[in-house]
Parts: sequence; C-alpha cells; structure tokens
Amino acid sequence: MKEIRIDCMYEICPVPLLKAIKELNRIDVGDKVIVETDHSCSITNILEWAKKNGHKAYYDEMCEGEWEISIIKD
Amino acid sequence: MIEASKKREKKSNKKATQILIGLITLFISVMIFIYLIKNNSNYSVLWIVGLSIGFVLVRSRFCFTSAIRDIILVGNTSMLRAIIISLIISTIGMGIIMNYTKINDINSYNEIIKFISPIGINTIVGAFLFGIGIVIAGGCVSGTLMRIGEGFVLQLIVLIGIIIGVILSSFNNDIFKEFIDSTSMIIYLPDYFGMIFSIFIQLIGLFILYKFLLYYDNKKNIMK
Repeated sequence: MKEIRIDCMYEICPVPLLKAIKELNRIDVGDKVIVETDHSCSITNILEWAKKNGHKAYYDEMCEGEWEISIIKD
Repeated sequence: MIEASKKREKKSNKKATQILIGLITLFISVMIFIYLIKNNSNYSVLWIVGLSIGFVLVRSRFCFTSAIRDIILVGNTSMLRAIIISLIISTIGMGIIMNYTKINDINSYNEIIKFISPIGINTIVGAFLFGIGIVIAGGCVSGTLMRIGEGFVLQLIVLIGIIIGVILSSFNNDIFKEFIDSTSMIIYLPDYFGMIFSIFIQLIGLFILYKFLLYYDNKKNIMK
C-alpha cells in the first residue's frame, strides 16, 4: 500500500484535482494518494470526482483551514 | 511512527478558535442592521439577504466557476446542475413578483423591464473574456467575496482587479454605446406569450438542460 503525498497548499481550484488525477493515473490499484490543501472548494471537487470514478475517498481536517484528502485507487 | 504522532500533535495544538472574532462580527452586523432600520431604509432587508446568501454559499461550498470549468476539465456537471435548479426556483419566484408588479404597480414594472439588453457580438466577446478571467482568478465576483471572507489573500488582489475593471468600463460609456453595444431587437418573452406561458417555456428549457447535463455526466462516467 504505497502512499504518495501531494502538496497543493495555497493553490487555487483546479490545481489540486488535476495533480491528484495525474498521480492516480501513475500508481497501481490499492495505493493511496494524499492531497494536502487549504482550499475548501477542492474538497467537494475531489470527493465527487473520486466517487464518480469508483475510488474511495475521505478527508481529514489537520488544523484550522488545512485539509488532507486521501484517495484510494480502486 | 514518530511522524504519525507528530501529526496528531499538530491536530491538538493548533485548535485556534475564532469564536471571539465571530461574536464581534455578529455584534457589528446586528448594529448595522438596527442602524439601517432606524433610518427607514430598504437596505436593512438587503443587508439580511446579503448576509444569508453569503453564509449559504460558503457553507454549501458553492462555486460558479467550478460549474463551468469542471465540465471541460473533468466532465463533472454537478455544480452546473445545482445552478440550474436555483435558476428554476428563481424563475418561479421572479415570475410571481413580476406578475404582482405588473398588476399593481405598472411604473415599477416598466423600470425593471428597462434592464433587459439585446444580445449581440458584445455578449459573446464579453463572456469569452470573463470565462478566461474567472478560471485564472479562481472565482467570479461572488466567489471572490466569499473567499476573502474565508481568508484567502489572493482574492483580495482579484477584488482590486474587479474594481479597476468596473471603474474602467463605467467611464468609456459613449465609446461603448457607439461601437460595441448591440442594436438588435430586445425580446422579452412575456410581451409575446404572456407571463405564465413564458415562465412555462423557461422552466421546460431549464428542465431539458438539466436532463441533458445528467446524461452527459453519466456518459463521461461510463467512459472512464
């Protein structure tokens, strides 16, 4: 179960999702991609995209205003 | 192992609360509301409506730019469908208001109708420029204000740009009217079809759009 972290702090809306998609295309099934972001818009973006494409996703609030979104490729 | 415990520490240390700032802001809002009521101004209602809209937009993570940008980027139409639902609701509401105004207060009705402008090339060029702008800036006007409230510094700079743009466009009005404003016909549906039927047509159009977007979303899903 490989874990890849992507640092998307201070990036605006499309960028976290695009970086996550690029990483997800590279890893194998069962690996996890963790996106660190402080943009609240990206959470709904990434979670919905992951659900639509059949991946498991959940998010954690690390501290006030910073989130870690984990996507497990399925 | 050590990293994991460090992360959990980060979670418990940085629980800075903003309750004090929240209470102060609430107090100031109520003060402004009372001041507006005392001066018998309509602005008091606008104040409450504005605050409520802002609150709902932020909490529901609504994003107008995400609506249009995500269709092309990832094939996700859920935001645009949400906007169509809100358009359906406001069509019905606005129709009721316009009907009531037309029957009871014909002067206000004519004032409102003056805001309908004709479509032309200027609409297409403006929309294109606006589309490029909102994707690069990360938000349209409501999204920018929303994010300034959330604490993003980038949106403050975007706000400066918005203000500059609006001021520039309000100065050169004569030039714009001559070259850019369209001179085509103004079509206001209720003049042709009556109020109720026009609302019906618009609702049917929005409903068809909604179904199409749903179909497009599912098609993109299966292909992935």
